[in-house]
Amino acid sequence: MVPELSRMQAAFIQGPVSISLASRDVARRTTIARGLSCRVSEARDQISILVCGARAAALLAELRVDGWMAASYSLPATHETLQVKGRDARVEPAQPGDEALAAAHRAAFATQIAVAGFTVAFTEALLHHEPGQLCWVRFTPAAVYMQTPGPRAGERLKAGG
Amino acid sequence: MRSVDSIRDCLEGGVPSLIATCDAEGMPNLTYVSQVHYVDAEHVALSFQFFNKTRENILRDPRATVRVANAETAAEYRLDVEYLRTESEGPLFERMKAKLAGVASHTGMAGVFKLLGADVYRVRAIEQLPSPALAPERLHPPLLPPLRRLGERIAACRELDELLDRTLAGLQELFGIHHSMLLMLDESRQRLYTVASRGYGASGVGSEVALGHGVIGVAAEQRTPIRLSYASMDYIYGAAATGTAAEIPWPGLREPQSQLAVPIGSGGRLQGVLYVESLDEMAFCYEHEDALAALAVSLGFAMQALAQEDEPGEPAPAAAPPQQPAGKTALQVRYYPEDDSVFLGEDYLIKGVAGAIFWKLLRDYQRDGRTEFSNRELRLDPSIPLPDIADNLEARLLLLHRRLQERSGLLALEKTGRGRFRLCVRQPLKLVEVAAA
Repeated sequence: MVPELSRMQAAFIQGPVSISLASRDVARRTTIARGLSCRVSEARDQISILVCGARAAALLAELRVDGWMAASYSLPATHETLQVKGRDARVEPAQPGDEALAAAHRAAFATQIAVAGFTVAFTEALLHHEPGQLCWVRFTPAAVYMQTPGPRAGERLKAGG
Repeated sequence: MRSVDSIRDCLEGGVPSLIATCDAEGMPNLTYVSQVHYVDAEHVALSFQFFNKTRENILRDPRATVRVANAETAAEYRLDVEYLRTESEGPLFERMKAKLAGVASHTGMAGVFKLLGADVYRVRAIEQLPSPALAPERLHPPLLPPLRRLGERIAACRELDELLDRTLAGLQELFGIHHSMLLMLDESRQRLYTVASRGYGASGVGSEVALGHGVIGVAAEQRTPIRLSYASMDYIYGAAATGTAAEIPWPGLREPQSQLAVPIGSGGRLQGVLYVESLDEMAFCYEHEDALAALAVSLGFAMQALAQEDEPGEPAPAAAPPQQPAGKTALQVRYYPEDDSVFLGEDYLIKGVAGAIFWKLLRDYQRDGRTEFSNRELRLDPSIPLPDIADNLEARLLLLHRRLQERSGLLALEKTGRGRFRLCVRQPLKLVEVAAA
């Protein structure tokens, strides 16, 4: 089966992009949280997003009830944006070395937005996580959408394309 | 509930905002929003640019969540909102359209970002998200103290020209705003004309802007402040200057990065526009807009009050024999009744109501040798096409006075008392009325 995510898309969402996640509660009220790093499995059939358990508490609670979620990835320099949706999100514990992953993503993102005048301190605050609070949100990509501003925004992309 | 007022700094667009909605099946959707715009303490408006999933979702279920961030402190807020309606014209739409044009050209999205509507949402709750926000640094000094001081200066003014000049001088001295203009509305011609400016090589007094054109024209037409934090070709005047004979060149900056135009009104009527601009991006924030809007209120009432105090105490004195300047060649003054334009020799001077006033003064001078005039008689003169209610006669006389000062050493208007003035002629005149072809 062709994975939903193409190689290029997988590279893009693991790059120095802004990552956000959305979930919803049983009453269908939505919640947004920031992602701190993203990894895609070798077969491109699993996406894992690192979050701060304290800052994303509401999102994690909702995902534990129902795993439907959306993740948005945007590269500030080009406005290139992808949205990936999943129906089976689960919360998994962090591993040794995940703090370094978060730090590496922060540094890469800080470089990205420095051209727009944002300081390293700003990015550190924006992508901050509480000590010992990291965890993963892991899901199977069920659909990928183009969201770069323009006439094609919102279009569902073909699997693997 | 926390008021939207308290998070306005997050709505300047420094950090992209996101909206999350939910579809019929219960699948969440996340979309970046180009603009979350402040409407009032309980409402925001989101830019509607593309038909997308968000739109489909909110039309079905109006509840949504918006995340905004402060571009200075990184503090983030969650807004629980409810979609109410879409406005595709009017003041809110035009404010957002102008702002979006600036953002679009700043981010290389000119031509892609086009505002289809302003989606108005009620804000049900605002919650600050847990984060180690940075301590805010003040981007500018507090604006209430200078506003108070400038208000006091305005209240002390006794004449219109003093009022206008002190206002613009005060903006520079107290607010650090170096480029400013005051324009008055010519209702019959649907145009605004510059009566005072500060910070430019040429004063540009008499230069005009059509209602609806650029930042100033839209602010006047929609009776709402228009503010751009980044340069946009759609809203720059310099590029569109036509330079025809009967036009005064626009004095403003060729490429302003920030622009703010605030309408001046009183008694329910638009009087003019206060305009400021800067070579710096993001020079004016929501607070500047507040301060200048408050200033415009004082200014409007001060203008109105000064206009009502021009009644002369005594009738105009009898005509004195003209002191015809002798021994010089006559200066030809041409008048075109079709647009009331007046030329001194080959040089364009003025048109519109101020042109009609000037022509009346010159004819009276030529015929009877009169040099003393009162505002009141001009107001009553049927040959001057003043709109009935808000005639702005003082502003038109001031415009004429300033144009003569700039363009001619041979003709001048001199104030001789409240509501009175003298026409000074230093060269023989030859008046020529040019009928329409």
